[in-house]
Amino acid sequence: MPALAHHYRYLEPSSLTATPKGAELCLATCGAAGEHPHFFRGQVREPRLIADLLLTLMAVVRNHFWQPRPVLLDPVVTASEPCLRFEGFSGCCGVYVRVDVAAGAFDAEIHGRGTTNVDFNDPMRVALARLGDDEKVGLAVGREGVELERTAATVVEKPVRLPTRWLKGFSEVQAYQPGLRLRHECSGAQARRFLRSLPSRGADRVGVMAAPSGLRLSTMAPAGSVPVGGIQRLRVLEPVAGRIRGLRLWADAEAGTTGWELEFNQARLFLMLSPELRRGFSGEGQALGTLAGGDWEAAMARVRAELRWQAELDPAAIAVRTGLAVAQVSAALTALGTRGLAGFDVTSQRFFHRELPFALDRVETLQPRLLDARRLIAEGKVVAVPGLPEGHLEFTVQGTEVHHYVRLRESGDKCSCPWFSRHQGQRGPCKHILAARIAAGRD
Amino acid sequence: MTPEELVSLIRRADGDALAATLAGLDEPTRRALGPAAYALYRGIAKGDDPGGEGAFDKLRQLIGGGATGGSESYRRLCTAGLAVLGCGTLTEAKRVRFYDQWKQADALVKLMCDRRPAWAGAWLDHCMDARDFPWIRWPVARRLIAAGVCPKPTVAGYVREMVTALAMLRPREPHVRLGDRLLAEPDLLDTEVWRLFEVETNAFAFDWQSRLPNLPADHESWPQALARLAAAGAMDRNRLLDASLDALWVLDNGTVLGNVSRFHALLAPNVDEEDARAGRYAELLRHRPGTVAGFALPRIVALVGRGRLTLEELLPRLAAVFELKAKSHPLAALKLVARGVVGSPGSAFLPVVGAALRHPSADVQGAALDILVGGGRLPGSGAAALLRDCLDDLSPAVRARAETVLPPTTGGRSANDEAAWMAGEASVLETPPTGECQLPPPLRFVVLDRDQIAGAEAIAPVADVESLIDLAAHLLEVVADASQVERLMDGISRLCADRPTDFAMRSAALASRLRQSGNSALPLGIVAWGAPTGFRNLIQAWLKPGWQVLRLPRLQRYCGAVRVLQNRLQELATRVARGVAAPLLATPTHGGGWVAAGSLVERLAHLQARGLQPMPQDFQQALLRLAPDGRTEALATAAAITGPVGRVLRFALGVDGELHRGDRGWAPLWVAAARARWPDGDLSTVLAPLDMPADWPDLVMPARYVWRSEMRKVVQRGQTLRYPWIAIHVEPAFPRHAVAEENRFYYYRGLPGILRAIGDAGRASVLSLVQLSRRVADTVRSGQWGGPSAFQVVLEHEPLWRSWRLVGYHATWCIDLLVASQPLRPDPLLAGAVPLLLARIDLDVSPAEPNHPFLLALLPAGRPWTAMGRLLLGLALVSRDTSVRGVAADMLIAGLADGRAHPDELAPVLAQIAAGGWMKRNRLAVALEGVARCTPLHALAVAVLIEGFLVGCGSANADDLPLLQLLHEQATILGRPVAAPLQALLEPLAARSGKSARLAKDLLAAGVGGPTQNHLEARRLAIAMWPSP
Repeated sequence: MPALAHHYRYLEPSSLTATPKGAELCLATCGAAGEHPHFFRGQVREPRLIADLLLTLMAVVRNHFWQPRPVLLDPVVTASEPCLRFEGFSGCCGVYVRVDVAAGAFDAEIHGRGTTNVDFNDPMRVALARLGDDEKVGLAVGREGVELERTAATVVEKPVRLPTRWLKGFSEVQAYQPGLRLRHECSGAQARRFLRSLPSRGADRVGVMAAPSGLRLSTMAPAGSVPVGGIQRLRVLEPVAGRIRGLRLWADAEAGTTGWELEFNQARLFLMLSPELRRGFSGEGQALGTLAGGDWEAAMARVRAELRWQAELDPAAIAVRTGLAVAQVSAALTALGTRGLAGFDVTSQRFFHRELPFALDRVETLQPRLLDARRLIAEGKVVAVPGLPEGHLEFTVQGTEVHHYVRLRESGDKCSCPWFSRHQGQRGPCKHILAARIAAGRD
Repeated sequence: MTPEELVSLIRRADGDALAATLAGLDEPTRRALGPAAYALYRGIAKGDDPGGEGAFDKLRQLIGGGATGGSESYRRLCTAGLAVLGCGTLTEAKRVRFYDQWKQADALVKLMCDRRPAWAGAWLDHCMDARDFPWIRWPVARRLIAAGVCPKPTVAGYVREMVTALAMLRPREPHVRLGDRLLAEPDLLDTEVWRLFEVETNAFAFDWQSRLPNLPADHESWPQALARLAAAGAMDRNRLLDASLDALWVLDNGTVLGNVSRFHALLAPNVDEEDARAGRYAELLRHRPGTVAGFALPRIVALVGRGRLTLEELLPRLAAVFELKAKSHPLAALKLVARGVVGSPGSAFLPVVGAALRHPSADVQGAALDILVGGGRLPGSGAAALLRDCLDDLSPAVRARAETVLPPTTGGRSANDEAAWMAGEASVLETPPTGECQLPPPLRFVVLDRDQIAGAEAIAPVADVESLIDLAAHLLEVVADASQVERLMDGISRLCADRPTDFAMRSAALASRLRQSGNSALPLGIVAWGAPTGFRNLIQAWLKPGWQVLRLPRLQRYCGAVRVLQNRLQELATRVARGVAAPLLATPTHGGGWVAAGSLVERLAHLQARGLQPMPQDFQQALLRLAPDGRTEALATAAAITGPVGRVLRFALGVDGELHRGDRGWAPLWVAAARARWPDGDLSTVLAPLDMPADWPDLVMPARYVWRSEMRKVVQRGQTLRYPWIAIHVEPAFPRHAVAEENRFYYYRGLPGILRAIGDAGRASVLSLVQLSRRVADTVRSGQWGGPSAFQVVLEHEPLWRSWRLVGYHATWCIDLLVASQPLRPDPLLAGAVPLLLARIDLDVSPAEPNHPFLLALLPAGRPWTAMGRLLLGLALVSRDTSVRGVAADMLIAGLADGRAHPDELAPVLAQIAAGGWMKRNRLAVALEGVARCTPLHALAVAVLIEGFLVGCGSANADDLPLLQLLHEQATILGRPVAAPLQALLEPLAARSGKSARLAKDLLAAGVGGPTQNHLEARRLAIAMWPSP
């Protein structure tokens, strides 16, 4: 599996330490360029709630939901004035989680804006699990250099191989979020009842539908229900069920993704599920499809210059400032989202600026399907079918044992290979179609 | 030393010699030999043993009794591994996983001691932490550590290996207790032993060796050894106590946590020791797994009793206990709270009570409410606000109690207004007398009474060859929708003669992929293992004109509806192989498997225009799928169809034609046509001229089903096994002799296959003259070659039994296809599904046996629920398989909403199932709970259903507790008393003591306050469903 070597390098481990003023939870930071920013320091008002939300985030990030593969990937935090956003992505690439903690949850001082990795380790997990609401707890994201010298902690090095599909999925998942529409909303009590009724395993796909008592599961996924694949993944939310104030269910009927927004006091948890348990957000190729018709490439540089770590990006305001059309700005923001340069908040329906602290530019070079397609072209294995009527573009592409037959059509490109036959274009074009497109000059 | 000499050494498989030879070499020489050693190791590991014997030599050794080939090769492999260790790099050494640690341990240690590579520590860490088991065993690792070659490994595998190795009994050696072994190695007591509290091991698990017959009397497990050493002062007891408490936070696995808690209890901390750790015990209440909180709670209770902990200290932590799903620990915590708050006017306990009120258990909620109500805390403003905030979380019974103790809110409807409103509603709805079933009567109709295709989705045929190739390629990979399979069959049937010049090029990938059928490359599509082979035949016949269609069934078993499907596929494949393109009559035009009457007429007209005869299996299937809509209109155009085909068609559409003896040759079609008009009728008068046998099910006499639930016994190897069983008796019974022997024909190529086939055939058909004579007699009686097999309506009744050879019931799509093939008469398929469902009644969901699609036959609103449908639903409701139970609940929800399901009909079925004595009633309660939550009407229906079920069973006891609880909830929601017959059953139960008795008393008192709004809403919904006069 293609992967990028990545070094999490923290100047100290994240820890919860006892101080004369109470416990202090210090999250060690590590940026993409090796910097260790100091973003935030504050006093937590409801320590147990924040601890449980971070533990839930940790549970998602360290989980592979369908194989017993432990993963050690750290979440990222984005600091801005209105809130702290912690984001994580599961090892199976099928679950995205974000915890937004509003400024009101802290007596806080914000030191800067930006995005960084934060170290999540086992001692910190234990410390978080032990926290109670009766304790005074401070939270710091990063430390000043002087403080670091004083603590004299050991540097934490975590060399990991980040699978390309994980990196791609983490960045591209943002592009799915604008497609989410609010389908159901229920109270905290109803949400609790629903979460407690979830099966540990069962049908691959169920429907979630409204009932007088809130939400209920239907194995039939009838009209009006929201189809959800691998709903048992939601069980990761059970530990925070007791304090939920409300639940909103968002869904994208076309992509098959669902978003679960849990409302807490001064905090929100947003969990996004891929269409199926064994299907991640990466490798879908659908995200780029939404950009196909937009004239966003020309606008991207100007829109990117307007990001400035804003917690909410208003396309209309950016359009006024840049002189671009609102549609162009929106498309450019979506493109930036797929490149890890912006996140999307379904509640406000706005993007926010954050830059994933990974070398994302290298991911582009590791697109396996694209590389294969270029290799097919280079080896001369793509041949146009001659003698076709005007407007028909058909190719034969030499495969392992047989020539595949590719048709480029307005109604949708098709190929005879097993991969395309299985997914029917739902997971993006196959390498043969990509090769044919390149040969036809369409890409 | 040269690489060749090294190879020669390895060839001798003498590890000691190898170690001795390498001992004198310097590092550059070793590194020069490294690649050769590693290449040799890889080669032997892959089976390419350069020094090994050839196949002939091995055979000769085997015959001669001196076969040492396997072990020799293994020893050479291990010696090569040693050579890599002596000459290779760390990367290469990490890839070696075979060492002969019995015979070459000395060589390994010597080799490492001589070389002392800088990477020895990293290598040992890697070996000890290998995924499945350590590649280096404990004694070797300890020798290397003792020799100073490697530091102590830091990995968890080292600790796990210690646990296993030290506790292992060694029958050939004098027994040494584990504790004494530890004392003999003091460094273990200083470091390694403490890591037992940091790493998840089975050190504290149940000691399976304690059950061994020859166990020494002084055998010690790890907990016993540590406790003894602590008691003897060889280990720090306080440190052990603290470490075991810390481990509860560090370790993650629930079982390991339980084991560590038990170890802490084994140490039996005294009062002082417990008092010193009061805060740490209290902290454990925040722990997620219930085992840890359960371990801490009794100690906390004791500490509170001794005054070492106060309620004020505990309250901030107690709230976490209510996040546990089980109710025992929350109830224990509430007892603690209740004891502490007696006479306390403060409100510090309110957050804890709030958390308890949000717990899913009604018992916990009730106990929390008792605390709020006790001591006159209500109507205190804080307590009242909290209770109001939690009202939606409360179970109906607790909520009803809570509402009575809450002070009235201002601005809402007053109690008088409420009563007046209720009275008005009640008068409007004319609520029947208390206790009477207030649901409309069961809805009775026949499938032909309803328009079936009016609201159904039309199925578009495949338009061209290109789409057909794409569809076939897609269905080879995965089938998401069974109607696509029908489209494929239809497409091939119509377009098989349409061969553009580039057909071979377009279909090359499909043909290539088809060649991979039968292996794991295509596990989900129509040619997967377990799918009828007819699909492969059909596509082959289309892609390769002149393809010889395989006729004999293979190893798989085709039964019932799948046999019918396979016959259809083979018939179609044969025509396609001849290159004859024509419409497929039985292709559904609409969802649900229906064929529109007009479309059938058009298809037959097209066949006649081309001078083609319809295929018998296809025509039968088409008639059995004939939609009731538009038959009269279709008759007008059907007049143009001539011959027997036209007469059969018009008969099916409603013309009462005169049958005569000469129609016996077309009997299967006439029977199918008659069943299209009278799916469940007696055809003895209609088919009298054909003189058909009356003892085959559904041929002349409709099949009738009688069933009985029982617990069957079978004795296997001296053990009596019991399993749930539903004995279904079909009258008339299926003539088993018609098909049973067919399965004995296996298709094998070559002479052995032929001999075997002849042997099977001989035994089955020639030697069994009685059977043969019966088959001949059947042929004569029915006028059809094959007798009953010629009639689809009969063949569908072939009984099924679970077997790995059973074809067609492995995939959801395949069962969907079968369900859609019998829209008029689903009972044969549903009866066949009963044993399959029953075989998995106590098993979890399995993708290999997806039984839930059978229930989809109950979904379409235009189809009535038959006795077999209700039986299958009843079984599904008590199934352990969550998919099956979930679909059953959905079906029941739909059936209750449209009136096809009625408690009066379902309750006796459930009671009859329960008579077998194997029904798990808690599963029924879980399924019905989901149904009851849908609407007030569903709540009412569930209440009536539970009442009917319990009355049908004739008793109510402790086993019925989940059902009684659910009934009590519904009675509270609806404000409805339980029915009088059930009251009579509950009265003896209420006279006893215990939880069931309390519940019985509550049920007897239910509905005193009169009907609630929910009840009136249920009535309103019920009246809307009442059939109009």
